[in-house]
Amino acid sequence: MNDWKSLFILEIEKLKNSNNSKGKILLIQEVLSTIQPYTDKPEELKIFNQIQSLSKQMSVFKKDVNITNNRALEENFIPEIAEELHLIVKHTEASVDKILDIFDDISKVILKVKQTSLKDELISKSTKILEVCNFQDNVGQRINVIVNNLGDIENTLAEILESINPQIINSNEQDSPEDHLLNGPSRNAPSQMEIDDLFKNL
Amino acid sequence: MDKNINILVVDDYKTMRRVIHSLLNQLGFQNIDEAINGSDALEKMKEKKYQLIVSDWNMSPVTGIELLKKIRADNENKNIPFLMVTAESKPENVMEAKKSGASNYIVKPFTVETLETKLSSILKKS
Repeated sequence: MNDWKSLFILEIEKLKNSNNSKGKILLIQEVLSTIQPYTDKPEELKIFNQIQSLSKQMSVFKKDVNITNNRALEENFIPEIAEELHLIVKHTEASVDKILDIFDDISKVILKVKQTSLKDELISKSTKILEVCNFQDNVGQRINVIVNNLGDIENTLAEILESINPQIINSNEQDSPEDHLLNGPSRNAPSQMEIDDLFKNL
Repeated sequence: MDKNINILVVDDYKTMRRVIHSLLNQLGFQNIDEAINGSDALEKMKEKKYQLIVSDWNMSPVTGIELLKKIRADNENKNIPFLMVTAESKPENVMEAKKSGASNYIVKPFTVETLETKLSSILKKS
């Protein structure tokens, strides 16, 4: 085994066992800078580029989900995180459905109210419940972004393993049927007023 | 604004379809059907005439923008008002929707006032 490979395994082991508060992204970058000077071979440089790509994907991942601590990234078993996230979507969806059932019940009661001003006020207030339920779509789409990023990270990890030992993994990349979809909600999304201005001025 | 028009709400999220459907009910619209994606919407449009399409963008198969382009390319349906309701808020998305013939564009999450204003403007023109 080449010197850098021994060093790589050693550094990765250190990274896996580390409780360093700097987080794994910075640690991966440190590993990279430690081992990079040990080679100038194109195939080995490819591996470093893949690690760099992994590091970048993790940065994008953090930016996308606005993670303020590294707890999620400290977990080693990525598929479990994806399953957890799918469960969150499922549970929030079920909760919103229950809220909407209650809204339907309230709407039936409101129809029985005879005093017009009270009826109008109740309709206006209950409509706010519907507006608030808008959040579910954003939650679902945002979590899908996270799960897709996790998939990208897993693919890069598989490429790294395959580069070190092609027997380990038979890379079997396929285009996701959702590759053509867009990004969904973003944290710095423009306001409806800004969208209106843009739409009008086109 | 004619509240008796047939409206088709297209969204792959069941809860979102329900929210938009209920909001439209609150605004006085009663003739509302739902489609789970662009492909389902096109099927429903073969069976019934709609006077307004309210559609999400991110769906599969047949996204909202693909649905809009197909509708605008179809002689029989090309003039149906189309309101895009989506979480996509990048200028390039808004531009593409406008160029493809969207009647207006709402970013999720939105308020009932926004929905009412856009509907009023779209249905006045049509």
